Amino acid sequence: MEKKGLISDMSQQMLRIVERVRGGFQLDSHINITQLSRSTVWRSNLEKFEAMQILDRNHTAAVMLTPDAFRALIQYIEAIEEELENTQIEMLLKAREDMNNWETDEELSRKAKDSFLSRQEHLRGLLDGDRK
Amino acid sequence: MAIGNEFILEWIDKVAKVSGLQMDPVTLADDVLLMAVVFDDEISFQQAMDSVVRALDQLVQGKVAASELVSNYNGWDSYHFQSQRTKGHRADLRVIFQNITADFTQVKGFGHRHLPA
Repeated sequence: MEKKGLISDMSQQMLRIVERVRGGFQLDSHINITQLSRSTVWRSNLEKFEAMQILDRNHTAAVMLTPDAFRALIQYIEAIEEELENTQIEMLLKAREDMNNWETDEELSRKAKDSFLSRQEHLRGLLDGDRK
Repeated sequence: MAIGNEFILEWIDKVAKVSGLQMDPVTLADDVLLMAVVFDDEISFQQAMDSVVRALDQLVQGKVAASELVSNYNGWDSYHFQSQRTKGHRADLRVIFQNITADFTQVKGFGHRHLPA
């Protein structure tokens, strides 16, 4: 049993890459789409910045990432999701701390149905109302 | 179209009838309702609840490997599984539980991992 992918577990290098990508695009980090296959100058810039804008007639048509940068971003997203989920579970456990009327089978079914029906008005409101 | 009461009651019953499962009745009602809020059409609701019942059944019977669980929530474990049976579907649901004895499993809650409650 293990918790994986926490931000604290991400290597320093991966985190630095994420920061570089987030740090915004710097002056030289763009390449015109027509130059992509024609020259190799952009390669060293990409290595330096991890991400570059691809321009098509002066507007940004796309963003290009190194494979490492892409992997680092995905890992970062997963680590954040993991921490968020851990927090949500802790909150749920806290909220349900005193709900310990453990029942099974027929008793559980009957009491749960009663619980639903007795709060029906309020609960149906959640189902039927305020729908986005 | 919102899920009707008859489906909610039907699935409350099916979850309760999973052999060896213990749950607080109020939380059971809450969690089935929340599933109906998230899966708000009948077909996906039925499929998702079916997945929940299957997952609960496997947990109670001890058919889930420890390596598949996320642990250390003050003694409670979390099991993640998918709501739809399509291959490669994201594990978007979870059950929070603990195995009390060989015969009984206590379930603190189940539901969608990301959509708000």
